[in-house]
Amino acid sequence: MGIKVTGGAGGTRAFLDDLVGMSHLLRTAVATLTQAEHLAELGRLQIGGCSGLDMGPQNHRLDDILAALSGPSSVTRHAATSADALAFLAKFAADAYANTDNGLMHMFTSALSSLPVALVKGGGRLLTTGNPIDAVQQVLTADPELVNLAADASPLPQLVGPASELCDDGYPIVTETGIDDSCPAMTPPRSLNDIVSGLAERNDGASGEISVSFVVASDGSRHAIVDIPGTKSWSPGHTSDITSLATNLRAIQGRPTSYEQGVLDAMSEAGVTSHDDVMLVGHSEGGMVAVDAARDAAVSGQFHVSHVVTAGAPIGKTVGSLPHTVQVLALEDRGDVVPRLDGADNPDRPNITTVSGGPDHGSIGANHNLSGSYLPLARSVDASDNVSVRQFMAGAAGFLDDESMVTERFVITRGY
Amino acid sequence: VPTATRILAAHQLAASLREQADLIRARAQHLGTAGADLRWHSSAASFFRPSLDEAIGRLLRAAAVFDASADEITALALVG
Repeated sequence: MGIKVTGGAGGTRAFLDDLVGMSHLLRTAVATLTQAEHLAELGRLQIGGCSGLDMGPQNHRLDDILAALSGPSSVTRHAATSADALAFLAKFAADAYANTDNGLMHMFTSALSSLPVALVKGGGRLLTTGNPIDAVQQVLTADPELVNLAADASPLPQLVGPASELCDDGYPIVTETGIDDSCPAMTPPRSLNDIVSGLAERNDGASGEISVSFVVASDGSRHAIVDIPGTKSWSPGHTSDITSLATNLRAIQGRPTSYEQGVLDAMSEAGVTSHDDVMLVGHSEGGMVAVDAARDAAVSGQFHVSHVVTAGAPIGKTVGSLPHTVQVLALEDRGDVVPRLDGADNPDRPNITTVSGGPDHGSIGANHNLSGSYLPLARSVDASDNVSVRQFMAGAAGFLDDESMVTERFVITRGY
Repeated sequence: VPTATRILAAHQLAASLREQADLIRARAQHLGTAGADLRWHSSAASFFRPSLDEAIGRLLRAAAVFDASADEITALALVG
């Protein structure tokens, strides 16, 4: 299954950073060459003077030697000119790449190029099912960039802020529900597929159920993996379900939520310390909460979140706030509209790798499903030799090469 | 100019030139190391890699000429 990868170590931003870095190095070399040339020029001025550089009949030869180091046609000037030109070109190319890469035109072009096929698919669905809702779903899932455009063009982003004020988020109540002694919860992960499988297992649990797993290596070192499922309740009103709309409306803006605080409290209760490397794994709303928790943990210093894996989460507007020390892998099924609800592409940064791919089931729910869409995508990532993907996986090796795993479950509810 | 003064001045100049040669070589080495670690896009690599190699080559040639000049100046001072 083909995947599309943006960002990460092989992404455009990393490349642009490298071009700019190369430009700086070349400019430093030019400065060194210029300094060397000045030294040779100074030597020429001293020939025959009182500084001792008077070699009588050999003065002409001495002048020739130094002229070869400092004149317009000298080897020094040639090297400096060449390095300077390359430095300019690298910087110019970096700026040009950045300008085209950031253009909104890219999104329009991308959306419109898929539109005809999407319309044909939608028309076909309408003819076969007679159901216009199904047909619209088919169009959106066949061209999910339309959701980006719609979100950008609609007043939805402006409404999210006021709407979130109407939904009381309460406070978190964290209840430890015991060690999970099922086989999957005791088997250390070896791949991204295993990581996403663990999240899918947790997602099958009760509303607000999360887990904190310690994976322990043969040398006794340990890492923590926290699984954070997504929305189970769409209620806008008072509800004890921590995954309800109040969390979504806040988390998509990057605002702290009771769900996030509950996750941090559960980690603390499980015994995670600031010395443990932590991977937060979240689906949909859980992915948004994971990003917000990673950011706030970095600010407070309470935990060392080194990795975040999200599946089907709209994190385009929030993930850029993470420090570069947090490595993010965002999985987005190409037909899933949910990660596009914020109307923003994930930023292309060396520490943020976004992978899109997976099957289009023609239905919003199925394309957002962990087992049906994100497990196949995770398997494709495991098989990929993409530079950004491999770099992320190499950095996450500490979470994937352990001997044992203990998983503790918590249920987070909301109180008022 | 007394011979000792001339030789001393020539040696000082030669030493400065060798110092510059070392600095230029260090810059070239730094560029080479950084170039090997760069995360290139394949399309851009086809242009920038040879250009960077060429720039590094010129730096190394300049350093070599500075060293050779220092040697020659030292020799000139002895016969001058």
